[in-house]
Amino acid sequence: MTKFNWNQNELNFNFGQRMDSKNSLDAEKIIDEVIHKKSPQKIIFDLNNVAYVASAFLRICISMVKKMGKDNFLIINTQPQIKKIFKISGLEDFFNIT
Amino acid sequence: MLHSLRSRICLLIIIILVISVIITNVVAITSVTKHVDELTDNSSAFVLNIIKKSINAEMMRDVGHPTKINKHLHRLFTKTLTPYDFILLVNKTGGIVVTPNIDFLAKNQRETIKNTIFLPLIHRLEREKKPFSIIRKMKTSKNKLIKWEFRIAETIHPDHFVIHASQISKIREPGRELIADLLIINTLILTFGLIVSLMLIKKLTDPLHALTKHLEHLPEKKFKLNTQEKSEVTDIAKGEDDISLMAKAFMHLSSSLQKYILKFKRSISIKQRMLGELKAARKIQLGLLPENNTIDVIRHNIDVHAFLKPARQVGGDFYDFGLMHNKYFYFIVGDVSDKSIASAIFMAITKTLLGAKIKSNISPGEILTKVNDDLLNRNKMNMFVTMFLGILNLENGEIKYTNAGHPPPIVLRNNESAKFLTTKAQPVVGVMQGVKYATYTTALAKNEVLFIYSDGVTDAKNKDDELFGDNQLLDFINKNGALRPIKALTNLLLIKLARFMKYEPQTDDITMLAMRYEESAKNGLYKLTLPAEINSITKFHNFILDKTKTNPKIQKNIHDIYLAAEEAIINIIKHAYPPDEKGSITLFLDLTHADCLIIKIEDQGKPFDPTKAKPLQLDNDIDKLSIGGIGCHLMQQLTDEILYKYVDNKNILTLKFKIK
Repeated sequence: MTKFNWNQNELNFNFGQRMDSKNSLDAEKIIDEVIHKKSPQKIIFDLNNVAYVASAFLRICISMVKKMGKDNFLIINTQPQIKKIFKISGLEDFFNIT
Repeated sequence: MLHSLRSRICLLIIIILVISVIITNVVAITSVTKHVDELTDNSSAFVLNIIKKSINAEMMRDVGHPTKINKHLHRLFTKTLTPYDFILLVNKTGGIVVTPNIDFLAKNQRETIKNTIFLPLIHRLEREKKPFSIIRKMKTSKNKLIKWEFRIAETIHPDHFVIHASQISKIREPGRELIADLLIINTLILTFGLIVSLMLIKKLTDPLHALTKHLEHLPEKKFKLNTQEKSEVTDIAKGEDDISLMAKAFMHLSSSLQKYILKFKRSISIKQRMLGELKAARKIQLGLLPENNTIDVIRHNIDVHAFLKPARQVGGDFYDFGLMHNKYFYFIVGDVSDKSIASAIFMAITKTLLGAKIKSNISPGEILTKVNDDLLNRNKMNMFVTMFLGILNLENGEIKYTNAGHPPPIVLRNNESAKFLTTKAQPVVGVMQGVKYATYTTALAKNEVLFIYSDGVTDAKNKDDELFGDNQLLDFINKNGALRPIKALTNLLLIKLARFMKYEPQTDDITMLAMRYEESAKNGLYKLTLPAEINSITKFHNFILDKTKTNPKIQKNIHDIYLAAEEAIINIIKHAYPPDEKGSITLFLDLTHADCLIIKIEDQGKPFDPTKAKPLQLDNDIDKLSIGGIGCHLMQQLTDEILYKYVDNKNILTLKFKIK
């Protein structure tokens, strides 16, 4: 389940455990909707619960970083196996991942 | 211009004529001038001599007194000899004693003549005592320059001298006229000669010129002359001279060339047609081989790969394999005598007969016995075929086989070195009526390899005429028999053969069929078919999780395994089928291998090879970052081996993961 948190122009998203193609598709709809409403200055993806991502999720991240710029889009609480996926996809350097 | 033969001949003739005319003229002029000069000198001397003789000293005594002068003498000195010469009588001081009626002796000139001609003549005569002459140009009253010669005679009288004056220009005139006439005549002859010779040359070289021109343009006209050109050349050829002979040769050349071109064209088109037919024949022949040269390992617990490389367009080798009643696997490698279209046809007949017999019989010996009899009824060309035929029981690895004069296959058993699978010698198929072929039995245990080949492998030659040979082949199988999949073994052998032969042409067909008996794997094989839609993703995920949950080694990497599978599946869901079509996806899960896990994903959508997807374009510029291709990229990164095939309208993607 994708949840979000609005705090002083910062938009914080929380995702479910498995961000496969289907869940990513669902999440993308919610994210687009919220961003459209709030026009945030900063977006944070909190991957605390996420144990699995498919390429669909990576695509969401790419569209975020394109929209916000690297400095205003943070990916936090990333588990090692997810970091690995970012790394082998070759996209690691485009993101602020912690 | 000077390069043409004609102009060279012309130039030569002109030079010869001009030189000859110049020589003639010079000789004529020199000779005439000499004679005229001699004549003048002689006549002058002659005149003086006569005068000398007709005058004596007595007569000269009264010369100084004109009145007393002898009438005869007076007449002598006043009368001219010819219109151009006369005699003068001069005294010691150069004064003219008797004045003839000549206009150069006008009074105003007398002093000059006296001082410049007469006195020097007299002085010189006195000094040298011999006759002498002076030549001088003088103007007439009509202001015309005339050359005079004054010749003094030997002394007749101490006070008086006789001088003979003559107009040499007048005297020499006939000579000059002669020379002038000579020049004119010579020039005329020269001109005439030139014109005539030019005409002659033109007449002689014109045909040559025409021939050269035709010859020059012959290739442009595809060696064919048109009617007008032909008649021109024919006219030239009518004569008997060298040029006519040349024209005849030219006509012959033209017609021969046309014939050759026609022949050449015809032979090329025949050759092209033959090549086309050979290509078609090869297509047909290769079409007779099994459509896939390998077989589904997971389903049938056997790994097979076969390969045939014909030496010419069509060859005599063949192989075949396939399943019988889902329990047996038959395999054949054969080699028809010779490599030609005939042997290809014979191969086709043999293969058809074999195919018909194999369906209903599982005894290789009996099958070959029947095929042999059938072939003999149709074998008009006395062709024959060597053959190895085996039938494997997929459930227990038992092989029944027979060998009709074919090189013995190689078997590689667990913990043993490779050796030949020999039988008692049996005759080749298609030669002897009623041969009973025996059936032999052996068995393959798990992981054991059987390698069947044609003699093109062992008889491969290098440039030193050395054969690849049995020992190298055994050695190769020993070293590489463990290669997986079995395709790697045949591919490596092909490379090895190519290296051995270097640039030597392949003289015989090369055929190889390798198989490995795998463990019976019914327990570790799973399959799930779901509709190609987004909701199936979770179900596939749960299916893989469920089947692998008991294996902790697989669980360690389950995210990677599933991610690769998901990317393959999502690709199919998104792209394989048109939106209005309800397609399906089948996933095979192979857990039968201790060291690896194999996932095979099949769909019947449009062909798409994800292993050939464009590599991810990673740019430093984030705006240029492409969203597409990440899935395929991840899939390739996460699998240890990835294989794509399009067979029977199916996309088959095999993903292999090593288990550590």
